[in-house]
Amino acid sequence: MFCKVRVADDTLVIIYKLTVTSASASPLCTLLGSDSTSPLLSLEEYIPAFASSGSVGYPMSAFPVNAIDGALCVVGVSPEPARDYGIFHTHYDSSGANCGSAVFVIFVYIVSTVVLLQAINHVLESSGDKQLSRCICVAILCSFVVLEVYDYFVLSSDFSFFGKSMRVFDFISIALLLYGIEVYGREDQPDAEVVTNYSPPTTSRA
Amino acid sequence: MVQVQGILLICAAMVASIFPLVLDSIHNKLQVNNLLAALIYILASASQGVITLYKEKSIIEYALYMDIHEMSARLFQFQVLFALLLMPLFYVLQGKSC
Repeated sequence: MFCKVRVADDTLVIIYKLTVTSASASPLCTLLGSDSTSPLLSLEEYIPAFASSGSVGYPMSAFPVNAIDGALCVVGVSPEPARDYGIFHTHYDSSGANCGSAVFVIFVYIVSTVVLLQAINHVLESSGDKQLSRCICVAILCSFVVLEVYDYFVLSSDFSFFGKSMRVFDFISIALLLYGIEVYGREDQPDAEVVTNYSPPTTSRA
Repeated sequence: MVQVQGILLICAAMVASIFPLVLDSIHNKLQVNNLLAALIYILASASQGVITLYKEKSIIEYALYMDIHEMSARLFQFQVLFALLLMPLFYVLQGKSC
């Protein structure tokens, strides 16, 4: 949500760390973090816009190797430092990969997503707009606190209130945000009728 | 209308959260990256909200009978395809090079 906009840089670090540790859990994430010196199939040969920007290009030749690495990382196999699969080469530094915990991170991610969706479903079914906005307020406040705790214990070593990490503007922002959501949820919104009920065709051939 | 007041307050919260970054980037040119990251983050969230509203508008407007699970699956497939197509762009935007 909007509450941690100030720490977008920190949030990006969190997301980056999660994606890198979790696996480079999916081959796609691994691909994003890959480096290659092989010019074999790089995009700069095919897309002039990339070639005009100097050395910037996309190491297409590393695609298969990184996809294999990512797939193995999902099941907990860390990539070897040096790999060479025939014509495909990859040279990214895989020494920081910690694929042993990939399964755990993926499991926690799936479980938390399911729990979150169940909670939202429960709130939507059992209460009105006012309770929903209160729940959103609580969720945002919790995420704010959790991110600050993460910031304190993991990201910044020299934590101090209103110092490097947290500023008075964060508290102004979170207060305005919570009050805004509270105001927004004061009136019930009109119900919109959404036709999404689908009755599968009957297959009776009698 | 109460909802509009709430939205204005939420917008004020967003401005308050970005304001220190603007000050930082004025004092220190190196902090412009943080400001850009925050702005891109907000724009991405805003576009996601607009897209969700458009989806609901389309569902109400066309009012066709549909399997909601199939629609979710189709949307997910399009997301994966879109991410695959944009992947080289993400790589370059990260500042990485061969």
